[in-house]
Amino acid sequence: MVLSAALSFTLDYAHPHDVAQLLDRENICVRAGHHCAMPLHDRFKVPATTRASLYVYNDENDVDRLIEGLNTVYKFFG
Amino acid sequence: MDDLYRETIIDHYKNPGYKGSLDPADLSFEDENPLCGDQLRIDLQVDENGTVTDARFDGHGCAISMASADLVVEDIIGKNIEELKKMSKDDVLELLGIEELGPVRLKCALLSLKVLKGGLYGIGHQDEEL
Repeated sequence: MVLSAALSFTLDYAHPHDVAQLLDRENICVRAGHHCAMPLHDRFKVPATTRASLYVYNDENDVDRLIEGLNTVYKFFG
Repeated sequence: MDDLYRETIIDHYKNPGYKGSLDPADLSFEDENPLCGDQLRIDLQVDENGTVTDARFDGHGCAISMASADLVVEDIIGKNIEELKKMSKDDVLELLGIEELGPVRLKCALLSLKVLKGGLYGIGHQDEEL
């Protein structure tokens, strides 16, 4: 089993830069763009992704806030 | 911060008035922002006096870059090519109604100007200041 806490994702209704900017408003820090891995994005045929990178400093509450933040993005662009 | 996603910008993003292509187009320019993958093409129809009679854009990108393209294309119809060469970064930000923008998002907002100027001058535009 491979465990990873770095999650790159796309949403069909919002561009990664818009997602990141709206999450930033809620004080949720994610990265948007190619993450220095442009060939991989070409491979998956996506213009860019949003990446949430969790680590030991994060807890379940942060994950809940990320999900709430993404709901806010959906209300905005969905 | 909040003015970055003002109603006008979201409206132009969701319901662009000038998205599409012109066939035939007298001038057609295309460029991209390699950092974020945004792509944009602008088609122009120009009369014998150099006045833009119609314009359209097509491409994909974030709300800021697409709203900017729609607003810029709307703005340039009826203007002369020589006038467009003088169009500045501040003109585009004024159309968007944005006063301040971080360096990353500034690239999004100015992709339309980069495509327009790159095409008008017939070169891939390298000038950061536009």
